[in-house]
Amino acid sequence: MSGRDDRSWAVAVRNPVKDPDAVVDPDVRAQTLRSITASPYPTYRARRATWSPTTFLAALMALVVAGSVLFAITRGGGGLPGAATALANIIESKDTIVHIVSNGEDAPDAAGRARTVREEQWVTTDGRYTGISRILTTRADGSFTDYRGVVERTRRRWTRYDSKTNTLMINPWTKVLRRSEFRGRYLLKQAQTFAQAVRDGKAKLDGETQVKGVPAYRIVTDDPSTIVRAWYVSRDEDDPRMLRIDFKCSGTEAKPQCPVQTFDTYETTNDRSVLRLPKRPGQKVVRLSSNRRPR
Amino acid sequence: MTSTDRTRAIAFERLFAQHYAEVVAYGHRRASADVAEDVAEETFLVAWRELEDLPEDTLPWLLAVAGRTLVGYREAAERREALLDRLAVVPERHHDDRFRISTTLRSELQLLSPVELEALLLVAWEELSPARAAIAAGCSRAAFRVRLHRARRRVGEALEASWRRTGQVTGEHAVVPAPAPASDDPRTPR
Repeated sequence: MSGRDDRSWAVAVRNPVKDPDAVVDPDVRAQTLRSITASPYPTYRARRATWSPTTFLAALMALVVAGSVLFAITRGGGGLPGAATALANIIESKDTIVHIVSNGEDAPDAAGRARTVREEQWVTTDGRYTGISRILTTRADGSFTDYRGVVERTRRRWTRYDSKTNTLMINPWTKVLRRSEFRGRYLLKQAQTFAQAVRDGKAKLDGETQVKGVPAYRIVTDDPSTIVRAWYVSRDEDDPRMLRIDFKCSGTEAKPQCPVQTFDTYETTNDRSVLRLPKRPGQKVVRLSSNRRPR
Repeated sequence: MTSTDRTRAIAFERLFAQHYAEVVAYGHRRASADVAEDVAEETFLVAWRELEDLPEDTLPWLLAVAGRTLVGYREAAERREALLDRLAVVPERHHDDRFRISTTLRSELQLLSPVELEALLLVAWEELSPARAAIAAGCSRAAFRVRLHRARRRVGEALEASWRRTGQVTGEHAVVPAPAPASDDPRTPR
């Protein structure tokens, strides 16, 4: 490099933050540390150490024995309290609860077309995270015929919306929700709420309601500001790993009836769950993966 | 809280105290303050989950996670803008400038590809050695050296041409000293 400084490139790269400590907000720093250390972490995670053949054999035998015992108990019809406990256990393994409250406001856009701007509030019931999202809904003939959503990720609120996959990620470690459309107000309750409701006796087996032939739990929320809602939760008969949640929203005089929406949910890992809408033609079910480890 | 949890929390707090500022600064250099803080938060959340498996030299690992997180944010912002364009219902459109690199880079740097630019910035801004920067960039050391070499050569040539034209080494940017060469820097006299 004759006549040229070896480091001439450095001239072009002015470091905008020479002192990292200068850009740290102590309050944000403390809040970040608090929120992270308060978050769940996967204690269940398998270690990467290789098992010795003896350990592997012992574990395999234990698994077989446990499976046999469980099978015998369930087939015998005696021991386990039944589907209710199993279901509650499945549900209990998830954690965060999300409430969605939406407010709609009609306002024509710049071109004079009708549209509804919605604001939704996402609140996890442990109170740690909230987020505001804006939903822009175009309307035609007075009905919601087209739905497009935009979720604004607010500062330090871990909510992301992927318009391509119509997927909403509430926070990185727990929830990935997919949904297509909504009408009116609704409340989305997730696993822990349900498990607690079962324990408190608020959720009861509804003899009249069956989901795919399985008696379903019925939860009616008692929030007076919203219309009557009910969740029907049952285990999917085709895939026991799947938890089927049917959402029904009954109308009041103030609000029209909401359509029944059906979600399938399943666990992919212990720290991630997916609520999946019924497949529509051309709709692709996409799982959002968590951050991968760098190489 | 069990003793294991406590040990874990202490280890994490140590890691956090050691590198939080550097991760936030990494974000600041490439995006706005609020995005930088969010990126740092998500990065350390990943670290919290992976605490037992973190490498010994954690900073490049953290910067790699931060880089990916930032890319995710940037893509989400682009999708959001594209959606708003399609909807065409927002009267006041403004492009999201929260993800612009937080300094106006000289035009010479615009010649670089994104990976070459990132290679240069990891060394110049984050002051990482090429070996550590390779981890942060998610590539092999050899690949990183090639990127860095190309970036330096291109920028150097462009700058030289520019100086010949103007006859001076000044510009809108202050001339800053190059980062201290690390021990495994290929340009370090051996």
